[in-house]
Amino acid sequence: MRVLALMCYKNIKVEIKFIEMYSKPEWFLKISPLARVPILIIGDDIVLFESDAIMEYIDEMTPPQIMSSDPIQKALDRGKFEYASEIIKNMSIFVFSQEEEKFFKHKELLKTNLEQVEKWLQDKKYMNGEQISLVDFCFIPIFVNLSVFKPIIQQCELTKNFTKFNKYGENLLQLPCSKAGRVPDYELLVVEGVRKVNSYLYRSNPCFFKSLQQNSHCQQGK
Amino acid sequence: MDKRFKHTLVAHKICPYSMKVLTVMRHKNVKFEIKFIETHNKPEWFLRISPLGNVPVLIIGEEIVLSESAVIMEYIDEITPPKLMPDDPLEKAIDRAKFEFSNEIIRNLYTFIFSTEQEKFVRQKEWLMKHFKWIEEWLKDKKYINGNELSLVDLSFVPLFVALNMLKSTLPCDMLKDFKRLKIYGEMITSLPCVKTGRVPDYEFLMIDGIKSQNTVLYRSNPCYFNNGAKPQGCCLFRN
Repeated sequence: MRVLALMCYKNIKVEIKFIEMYSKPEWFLKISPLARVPILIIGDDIVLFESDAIMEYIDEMTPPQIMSSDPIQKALDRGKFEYASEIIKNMSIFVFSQEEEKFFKHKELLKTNLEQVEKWLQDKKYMNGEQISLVDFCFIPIFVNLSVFKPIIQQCELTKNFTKFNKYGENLLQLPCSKAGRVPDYELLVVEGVRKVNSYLYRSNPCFFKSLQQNSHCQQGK
Repeated sequence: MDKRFKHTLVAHKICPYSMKVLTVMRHKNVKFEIKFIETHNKPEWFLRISPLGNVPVLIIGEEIVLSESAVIMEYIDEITPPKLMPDDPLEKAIDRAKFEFSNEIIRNLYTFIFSTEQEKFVRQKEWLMKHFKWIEEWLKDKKYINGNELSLVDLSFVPLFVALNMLKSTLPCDMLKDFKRLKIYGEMITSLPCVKTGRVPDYEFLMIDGIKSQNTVLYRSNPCYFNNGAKPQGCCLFRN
């Protein structure tokens, strides 16, 4: 999602091929060394893998760059790319885990993660000031996912008191590329995934998921 | 290099990611201080400054903390020209992706080495063999991954070959026996001066000690060697 959001931001013409992670096609496994998405195919032959490498490449090819040119600032930002990835991993377990213990462990980990992000954020619009930089794109998927489960997140007070973090999230989600940088049925697919694995989150919030189901039926009826 | 900033590397003695950074620092002759910590008992001061609690971490001056081995390597490379990283955006991107690949293959190798369950041990071995093919493919007939000159991506594979060498010399098992290019590349990489000085002198001892003390599959398949130093006759790693 971070790559897609960046490509939308930078107005890059790109063809997209979606694949199923549970049934990866042969052609994909032949070209993706770690069998992960996203990969960027340039022309016919050149394959770039790893989202952060792809993002920096896109940024460099489409000036003005939104990544700093200062070696220390760049290094600090790259450290945050990795931290954002760690948050996403923890969120994924929080959302999809079937075990209560794992759910609560990752809820606590997330709290610590979000506390750290709150510390990093200044009272500015984005992570590095008033201008957007590459590191902000790494945080977009975090806020997109938090918004899918907003009532649950509010109920378990995961983001309570993190005023800078919440404001940052609002700023990011307002960006056009934030909306354009994901498939229209993203929320539906995530919720469907949660339901399928019957995760702890799903089992402990039946009302929320029922209301989502009703809403989607209503929309289908229109 | 800007001498205003003192560089302190926080590392763990057998951590392969710490080894990557140490190797680059030796290659580039960077002046720095090193602090070793125990990863099963991380000190409070370290947990306060390292967001993910991982080594290595580079402290610049008093306050700036860089984490992630690939990030630190690129930073060091940039402040100590001539750079080992290419300038071309596409080549840079490809190399950065390979840094991550090297992290993953090293992680799997260490999981293999310290596996305590037979099933996991065999699975890891298969994963490794499958992924060695990628590096073999990238090398083609070149001396280094990017041609005739050493680049940063070569140094990111150093811990892989150092660990494989340790396995080869302690147990007569050559995991690279079917990978001709990798063998040559590995021998060459591990004989670079920065690779020798880029690890603690007791690396092999500490690794073997860890293999033994965690009652790993490796240990259980060769207890005589680990207890008496008697080298196994045949290749041990591929016995089921």
